[in-house]
Amino acid sequence: MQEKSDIQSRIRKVLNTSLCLGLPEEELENIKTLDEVFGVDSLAALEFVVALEKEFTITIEPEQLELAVLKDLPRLACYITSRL
Amino acid sequence: MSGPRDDQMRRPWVSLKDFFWLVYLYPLRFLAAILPVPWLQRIGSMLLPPLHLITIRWKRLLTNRITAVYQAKSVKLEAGATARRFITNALFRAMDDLVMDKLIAEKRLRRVHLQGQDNLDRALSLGKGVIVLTGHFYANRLAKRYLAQIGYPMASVRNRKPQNRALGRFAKKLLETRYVEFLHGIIKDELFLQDEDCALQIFKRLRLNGLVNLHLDASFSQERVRYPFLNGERLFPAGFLRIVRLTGCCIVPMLCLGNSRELSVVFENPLDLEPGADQHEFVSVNLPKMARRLESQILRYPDQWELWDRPQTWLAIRCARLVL
Repeated sequence: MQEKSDIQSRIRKVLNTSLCLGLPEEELENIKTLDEVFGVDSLAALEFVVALEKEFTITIEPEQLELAVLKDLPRLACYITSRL
Repeated sequence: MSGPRDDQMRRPWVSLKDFFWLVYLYPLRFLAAILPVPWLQRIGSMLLPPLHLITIRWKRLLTNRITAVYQAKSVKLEAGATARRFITNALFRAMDDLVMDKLIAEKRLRRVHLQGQDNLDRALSLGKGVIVLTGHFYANRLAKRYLAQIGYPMASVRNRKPQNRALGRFAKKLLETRYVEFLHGIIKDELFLQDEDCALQIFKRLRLNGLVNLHLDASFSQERVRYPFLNGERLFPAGFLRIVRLTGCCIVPMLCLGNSRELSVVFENPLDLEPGADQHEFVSVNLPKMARRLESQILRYPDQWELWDRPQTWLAIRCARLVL
């Protein structure tokens, strides 16, 4: 099983590419919640979910499709780790 | 650009609509709670002649608008009679709203014509959820409550606080919140565009192979695209096509006509969407087709479309052109 920190880093990369944020790696590593990213609206969060599912080849369960889960990157990493 | 304060200043203190709302939300609503449904329907019929009398100016305005559209399309129509039926339909819908819960709970909808159910079932069988696309037709609310009762529950995507330009300052301050709450009680299964997680909630419904209803002629949306519509232009919501593209769900147009005396619900063929290279292309190839389909529904049933008297189609677009 992959380390949780690796998963978190992959999640951040997905966030960067799926939302076309263009953030440098050092800035990306500091992000803990989606609230820190400017311009993440409801549709952008959805793009992020779909990109995550593609990256990790998982289907996020409907009950986990909540902003509270998706915004909190460490919590999201825990969930994805449990699904791998 | 004008702000909410300017908007407030332009409103009269009291308008005719304020009076309608006051009567509707208090005496009529209380009567609806205690009287049997047929009695209330009789009251509705009795209110028709005075309503037609006091809405002469409104009907003239509607007649002019409807005439302009049909002349531009070179289609003959008795616009005056259409405007008259429009007012009648508005009243019947308002009365149906008052007794919506009773109509459903007491199974009072006896004359319902459901067409194209196989179209909806076929779309659902693909397992990716279905967006049920409608225009603002009078019978929508009733049809959706009926469909939920027969096993097709549908979430309605809505504006949490719809704009109502015809209200005076009195109703805006004292009645609007009450009316919005009243609408929530009728529609029940709602998702609000203003909610931060609206797209996620739609996605969730679709993933559970559910139905989500969207109005194509809704004026409130974050992403909007302008297309020719009727004899002018209209802004259409485009953000939902991003959800369609991401989920691969089906879009089934629905047309709801009539009222509780006779209701007709038509599910048209699922839309054959063309894939676009990107979101912009996806919108530009598919959205105009949807707009054409809605336009043809309106032209076939003009007295059933409730937005003839809303300014977006006419005035606001012209103003937007000047501002943008």
